[in-house]
Amino acid sequence: MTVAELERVEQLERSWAEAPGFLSWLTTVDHKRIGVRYLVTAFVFFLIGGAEAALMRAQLARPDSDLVSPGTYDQLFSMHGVTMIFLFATPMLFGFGNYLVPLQIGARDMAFPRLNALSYWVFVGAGVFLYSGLALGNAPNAGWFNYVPLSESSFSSGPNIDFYGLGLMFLGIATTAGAVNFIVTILKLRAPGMSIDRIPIFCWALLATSFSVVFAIPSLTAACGMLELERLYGFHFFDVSGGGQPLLWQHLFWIFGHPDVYIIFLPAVGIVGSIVPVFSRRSLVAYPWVVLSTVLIGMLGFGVWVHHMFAVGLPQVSLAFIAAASMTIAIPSGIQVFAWLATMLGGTPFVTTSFLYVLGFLVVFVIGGITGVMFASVPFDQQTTDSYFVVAHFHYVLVGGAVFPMIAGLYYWFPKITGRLLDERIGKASFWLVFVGFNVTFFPMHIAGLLGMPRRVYTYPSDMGWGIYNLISSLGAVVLTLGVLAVGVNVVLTLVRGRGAGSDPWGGNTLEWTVPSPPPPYNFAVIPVVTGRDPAWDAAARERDHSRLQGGGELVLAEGHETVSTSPLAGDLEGPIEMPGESWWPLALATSLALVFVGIISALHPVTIAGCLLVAVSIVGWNWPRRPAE
Amino acid sequence: MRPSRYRGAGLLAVVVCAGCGGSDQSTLDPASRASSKIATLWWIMFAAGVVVVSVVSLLVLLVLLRRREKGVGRWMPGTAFVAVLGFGIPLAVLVGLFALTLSTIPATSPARATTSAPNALTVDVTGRQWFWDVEYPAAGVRTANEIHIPVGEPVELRARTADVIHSVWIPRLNRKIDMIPGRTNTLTLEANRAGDFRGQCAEFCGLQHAHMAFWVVAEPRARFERWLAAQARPAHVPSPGSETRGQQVLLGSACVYCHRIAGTNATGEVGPDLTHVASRRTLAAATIPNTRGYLAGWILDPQHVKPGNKMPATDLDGGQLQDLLDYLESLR
Amino acid sequence: MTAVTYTEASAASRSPAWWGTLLLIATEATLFALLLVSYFYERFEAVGPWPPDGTAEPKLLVPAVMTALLMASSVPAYLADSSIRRGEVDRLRVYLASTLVLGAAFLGLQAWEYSDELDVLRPQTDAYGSLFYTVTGLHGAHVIVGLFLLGWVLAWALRGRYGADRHLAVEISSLYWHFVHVVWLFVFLSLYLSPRL
Ligand code: HEA
Ligand code: HEA
Ligand code: HEC
Ligand code: CUA
Ligand SMILES: [Cu+2]
Repeated sequence: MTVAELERVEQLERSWAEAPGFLSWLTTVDHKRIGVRYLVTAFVFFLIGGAEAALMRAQLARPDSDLVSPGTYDQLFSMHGVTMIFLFATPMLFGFGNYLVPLQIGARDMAFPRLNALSYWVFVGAGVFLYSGLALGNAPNAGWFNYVPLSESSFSSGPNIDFYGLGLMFLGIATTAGAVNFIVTILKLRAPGMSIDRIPIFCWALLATSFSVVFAIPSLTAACGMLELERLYGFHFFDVSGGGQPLLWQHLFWIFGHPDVYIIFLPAVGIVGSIVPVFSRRSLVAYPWVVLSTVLIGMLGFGVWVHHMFAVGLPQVSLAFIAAASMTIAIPSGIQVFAWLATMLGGTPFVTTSFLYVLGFLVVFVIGGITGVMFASVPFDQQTTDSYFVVAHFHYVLVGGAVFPMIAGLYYWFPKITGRLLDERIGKASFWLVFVGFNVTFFPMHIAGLLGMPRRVYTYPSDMGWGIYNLISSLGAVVLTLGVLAVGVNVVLTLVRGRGAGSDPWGGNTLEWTVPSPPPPYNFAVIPVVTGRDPAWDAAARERDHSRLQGGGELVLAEGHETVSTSPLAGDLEGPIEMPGESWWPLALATSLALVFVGIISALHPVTIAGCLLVAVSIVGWNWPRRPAE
Repeated sequence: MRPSRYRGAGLLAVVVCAGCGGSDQSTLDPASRASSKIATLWWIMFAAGVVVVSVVSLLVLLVLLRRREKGVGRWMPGTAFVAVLGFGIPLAVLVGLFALTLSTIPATSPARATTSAPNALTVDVTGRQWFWDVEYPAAGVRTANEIHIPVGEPVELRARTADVIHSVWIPRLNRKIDMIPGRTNTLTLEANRAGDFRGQCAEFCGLQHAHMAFWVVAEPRARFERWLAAQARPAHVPSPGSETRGQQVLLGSACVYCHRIAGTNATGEVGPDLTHVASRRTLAAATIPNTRGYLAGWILDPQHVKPGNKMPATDLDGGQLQDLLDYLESLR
Repeated sequence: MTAVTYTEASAASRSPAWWGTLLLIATEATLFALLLVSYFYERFEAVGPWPPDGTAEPKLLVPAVMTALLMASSVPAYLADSSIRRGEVDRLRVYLASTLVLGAAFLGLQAWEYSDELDVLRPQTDAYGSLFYTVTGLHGAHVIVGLFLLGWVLAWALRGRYGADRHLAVEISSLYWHFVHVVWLFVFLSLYLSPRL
């Protein structure tokens, strides 16, 4: 190292270091710390949601079982669905996004670091809010799509549903803020030279997902807002007696709900797209097609919500259009699947645990996708909707299509995040447990569904012929749980005594592999200049970056707390931008918002008003100029 | 004829077949044209699905096999591979599937009854938490949890709800249809053979959604008409003795606020019509068999049988209960 | 040594904060669009007249004046932005103040209209009333937020914070104000004009 280089790096260390200790844990805005936090919190919610599932499987293992009461069962499946969709899947993928997006595009943080911290705190607040319902024995109990009028006060008088309605509005703030942050980060903060045709697949996936979030969440917010106005203040939107329309809820929910399943699926696809080329030792085949497919899936997702309402009695002709639209989505998905297969087949595959999960994902996701296309065929859906066949479909796409990639991503990026390699032997064993356990759990549900078993039943009679399939499912869930535990054990063991990873254990193609593991707070000592689609494989360009650090110091930006902004399409350098540092305001704002919601649900108006005032104070404090006016 | 064909096809999928015909609600054991069309649609899609999944699985296996292979001159699939397998073939498959869908829709569409048989029989079914009110408006019949239909004739089922959303689903006879507040949806039932077909509520509707089932009895026209005529009569007049005492018990307790027994002072609208309750094969929405023992258990403690349902327990001493049971059992 | 060239596009290109505001506006606009779609859904699914029996169509005079005020207020909001780009601080202050006054007048009229309307129609009356007050109320809330934003910017403008090369807050609050104004046009068309068509 030259003296100049050392000096610059030291200067960066100083300006990017956060205060040590517990306090900085509350004030940090570092996307890596926030990202890890998202991952850990979401995993905790996964364990909770999994425990709820385990209870349901125990109850369903035998016919006419009375292990749990009907009321408890209703809360279990509702909280399981809400937890897995809202508190686990999306936040987990946002965690990956938070950690990786800046690293993959060569930036030093997200575009709005404090907003990022706010998103996390609000997510935690909303999760605690939702679960306080369960703690009080009053968890939401009308399913994750919470149809009216069952969820209106006339049929659900306790506060159960209010935890759902208010909790999801609260959570919507976090998700929207996170999505805006991803979009602006990816559009404006890419390293110079990273034109749009060089954006890593994972970032493309997050971009598409985030746009879906921006346009989908308002629909959920509108639906929940109306529901709460109706429940708490006597408005009428959905109840027939007040001139309302019950189907309006379904439309609004699914206008959000269908895009939401792609919001979960697309980043998972992005993870797969990142891993496949690396372990195949070959650039992604048909990159433009894959990118186009990703964007198209996000867009088409807004046109098919009615396929969740095929049985409500809409005119059959109009359903044909929705059927066609839903089937169309198989094409971009097919393109992605075969692009990965082509990349792997033409490469020299290197089978790690991560790669095994990707292969498992391919098989399982395709099965789930095929059953999805079957539903798009209207009469078949009208026969099987609300049966266990649907439960089978969505676990194949959610667990197979999203959880498998997440675990693949965990094995792939764990060394980057912690500097240690997960154990491959435990890893491969856990893969087989998870893969076999998963299929044994969920495959029989297809059959139970075809045999006429409705979903959301807390028990079933013994003479229906469903018993054996349910028993197999429940046994499978035991195996699956062991697999999940093995993943957890591996993480713990590795943290204790794992093998060091070095900066690039896999020979990765994206920029995160060019920095140390774990990366320093400023990510890049010098902002890289990108010249191709696989920047980490471009040794010459990385050498040039390094010589800038040693020589003239261009794009080192060591004087301030800065990163660079570039133009959205071409990725031309525009100039350095100042990044905010640690702050209390995100936590303050999130807490004030929580106060507002607590005030509303407990009908304590002074609390609500105090919360609103504190929100205003926090926003003012947040925006108070850091330097006096010039 | 049809059923055996499906059983045959079922052999293809050994696992699936285990259940064919084994369940009273199997979608794969159709007893009507509509359900047969849907089952055919399923088997075609299933076969196509097996092909797609096999292709992908084989390619995945190939990846595993190729991992040690190195060197030049090997097959390097590129964009053309992606275009053919990911775009071209799926497009063709989907066009076919869409055509198949369009050709299946009419068979399950509710419009059929009115077009093909304008004088079709109409049944009004109203979902309630957690049982089914059944009415034959033309015959002035009201019953619950049991729908009788003549074999081979289209019957128009008008689906409504008195409270939350429910969904009528008789898998062996047709697709399901939701019951939405403020709306009337219709579904055609046309059994092509006599038999009992179980139906169940398919939309989550609260605590006892799991126990909201019913039976459809398809029988020859003559038997159907006898049944309808019997149901149209007012309730059996109790013979002196225990039946009469039982009627007194009933009319003197809270039962009358919730139940209707045609020809008596019991005119409640909350629970199932009991005019001919003894003629039904099950109680409490197909939850328990209609036998004296179960009936007694139900009346004494309905919350044990079906926790959360809307009927409260009634305190009766032994004599009263036996009389009440005698009376209820006489309501054929 | 690699030459790293800065494109001198910095002035024309938009800052991250501007993009962030735009996306926030996009998500809010979707929310309003969905509420208006809900309004039309309920209206066309309803049996019987709309507004339902016993409710008169909303009066037009006051809302028309409100519309005019809000449209007019967008002009100084635009001028505020363009004058500070030229560094004209005094004009900035005048324009911001005019926007504020016009916006406040809009709110005042809305309050007046509400007090009038509430005598005959309450949010709890029926679906029509609920939608009417939810949509106009939510828009009103956005006007209030907009006024706070403008007030904040005006306060800092009076302390001389902004100049030709430092005007992000002005740009953003003016962008937001235009959004509030455009949304109102749709609200006015849907809730006030369309029942008479
Ligand atoms: C990650 C989440 C995810 C994903 C990716 C999907 C993907 C798809 N889903 Fe699924 N879906 C859910 C999550 C998801 N779904 C959930 C949670 C529900 C239930 C909600 C509830 O009720 O609780 C649901 C329910 C659901 C329904 C309603 C069922 C009902 O309740 O009645 C329908 C109906 O059309 C549907 C369709 C589809 C289709 C067409 C796809 C397509 O995108 C699939 C496309 C992919 C492929 C087809 C595979 C790859 C392609 C090839 C290998 C090419 C060759 C293929 C062919 C020629 C067919 N889904
Ligand atoms: C990403 C989403 C996701 C995921 C990962 C899962 C995972 C699982 N799901 Fe779930 N599921 C949904 C989303 C998801 N589900 C949704 C949306 C619904 C619909 C809800 C509704 O109808 O409203 C649903 C419904 C649903 C049902 C239907 C309920 C009904 O209709 O009555 C069932 C039944 O078996 C089920 C089972 C399972 C099982 C066994 C798993 C397993 O994969 C879980 C594996 C994980 C574990 C087993 C955790 C292991 C760890 C521990 C057990 C330790 C715990 C320790 C502590 C907490 C200290 N799910
Ligand atoms: C508060 C209302 C209420 C009262 C009082 C009441 N019932 Fe019921 N009853 C119901 C409801 C509701 C059901 C349907 C329960 C279900 O299946 O979910 C029912 C079901 C039944 C059934 C089963 C009917 C069938 O076909 O499934 C019988 C028999 C019955 N009640 C008898 C009685 C008798 C006898 C009394 C008085 C001693 C009585 N009920 C009092 C509401 C009531
Ligand atoms: Cu009725 Cu479920
Ligand atoms: Cu969908």
